[in-house]
Amino acid sequence: MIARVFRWFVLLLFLLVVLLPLLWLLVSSFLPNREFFSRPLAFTAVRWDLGNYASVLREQPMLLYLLNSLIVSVASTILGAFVALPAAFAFLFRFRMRRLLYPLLVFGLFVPTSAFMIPYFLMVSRIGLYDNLLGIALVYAGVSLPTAFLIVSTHMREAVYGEYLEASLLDGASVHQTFLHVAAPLALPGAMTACVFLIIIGWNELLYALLLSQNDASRTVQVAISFLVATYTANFTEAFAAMILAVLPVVVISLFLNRRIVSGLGMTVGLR
Amino acid sequence: MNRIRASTALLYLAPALLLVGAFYLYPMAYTIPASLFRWDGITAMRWTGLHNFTTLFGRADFRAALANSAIWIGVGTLVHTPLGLAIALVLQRKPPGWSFFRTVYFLPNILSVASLALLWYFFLNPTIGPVDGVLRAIGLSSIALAWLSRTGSALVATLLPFALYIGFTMLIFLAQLTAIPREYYEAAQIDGASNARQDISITLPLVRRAVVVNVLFNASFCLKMIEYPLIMTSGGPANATTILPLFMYYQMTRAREYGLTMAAGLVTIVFGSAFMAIVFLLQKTANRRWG
Repeated sequence: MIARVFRWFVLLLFLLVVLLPLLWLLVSSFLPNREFFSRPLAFTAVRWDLGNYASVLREQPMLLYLLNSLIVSVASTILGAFVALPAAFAFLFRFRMRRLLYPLLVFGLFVPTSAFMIPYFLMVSRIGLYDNLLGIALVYAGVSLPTAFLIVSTHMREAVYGEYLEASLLDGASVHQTFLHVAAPLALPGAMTACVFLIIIGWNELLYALLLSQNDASRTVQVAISFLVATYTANFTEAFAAMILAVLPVVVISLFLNRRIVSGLGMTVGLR
Repeated sequence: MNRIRASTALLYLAPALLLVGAFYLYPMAYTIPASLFRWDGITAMRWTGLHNFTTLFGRADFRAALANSAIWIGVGTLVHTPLGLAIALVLQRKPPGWSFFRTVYFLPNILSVASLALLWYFFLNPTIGPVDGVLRAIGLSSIALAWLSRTGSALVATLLPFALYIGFTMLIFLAQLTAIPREYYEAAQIDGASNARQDISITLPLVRRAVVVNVLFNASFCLKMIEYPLIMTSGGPANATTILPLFMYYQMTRAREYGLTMAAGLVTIVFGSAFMAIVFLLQKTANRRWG
């Protein structure tokens, strides 16, 4: 009995820690700033006034930042998926150096890439992509390649049986035809899971976007968020509205794909 | 397994190897020699030997960053991992609403760290934050002041939102827990073992791999993340909350000490590798004990 009460206490406590700040943010983002100051606990005044959202979109190039984030995350995801898919296919076979190359592709998962901020900055500047969305997207694709490869690779092993490959090759198809017509279509659901992860990672990243962009034209929404304290020193509820706008797309994605994300994660780390 | 020629395989691997080469191997190869120079990114590089490293360890802000990073990793390993396992064990028995709990607990992991950091900055703010508001309302104004701007409490305050990521730890454990055959528990039940007894004798030894995965993911997150100290405190007050990635970020962008930044990067990598080596060593010992 005591154990049961304690279990529920833990579950509900953690629920509050996660949800309470988010609800406070959401509710406050609808309040006019003056009203927010008169009752900082906000929960007492629920109303649906979109004024803050309107003024954030009017006074700040918020839509541009959101669009930039979308471009960066989608571009890096497409690049990452197109690179990871053939690589994962190769590992469905035995070949010389296989045991050497697999760890080479995944060791990056645990490398603290923050150590490489200067090389990344110099590389992107040298190829003329500093302050350019493509430069940011390229770094995202490169840095998260181990993640992309691991997700696609585990899903491919589950979906593409050795017999399929054997049958295809025995029927006279070349390795390339086997990739295009057998393995790639079968691996599509896994590739989609990888894409969801990569889009979320790209949408949320801050450090490299901060280092590689200078002007509004290449500023992502996370960089804008990190400047919000300075921009809205007094008008807090407008800052809240901007924050809600920045997380909304990812929340929508996750509502639709929650199951896929949850099951993909366990499989990816090789525990299922 | 079918066999293909190495040249064919390399054709498929070439783009991936190119990216790994460009974003992992080359930066590593570049950083090692470049950390031996003094450089501002503009004028010529000046050879200084190991001077950057002696400078680093002589500086209080770097030592603080190193110590705080160790604290972050320690909290992730010793606090979050057990808590994540505890929550996973509760949810694994599928109490009413378990699917809802699982979704909500995982939610912070898909929200941007930047917006969560800003949210907690406001949440703990002494004038508008509800935390201090509530503390004042119930007569505890003595502890309700400026969590983020006092040296004693700032590190704890930046570590508070770290707890949100327990949901990730939980999910990794859940994935491994569902792979444990039910028969083990049924057999134990027949032998009269309590729930707690089953968790200790059956579950714990079987989730070792998930423990290792969690600990490594946590450490890697701590060594890459800049958002919480950057947005909540800028590393202050008096370096109380700075961590290695933030130290490097400021050295690069504010001080323009490129050589020093890369030296700090090497220390970060060595630090992370040493931690990983210890974890693997412990795992090996555990494997020998439990077979």
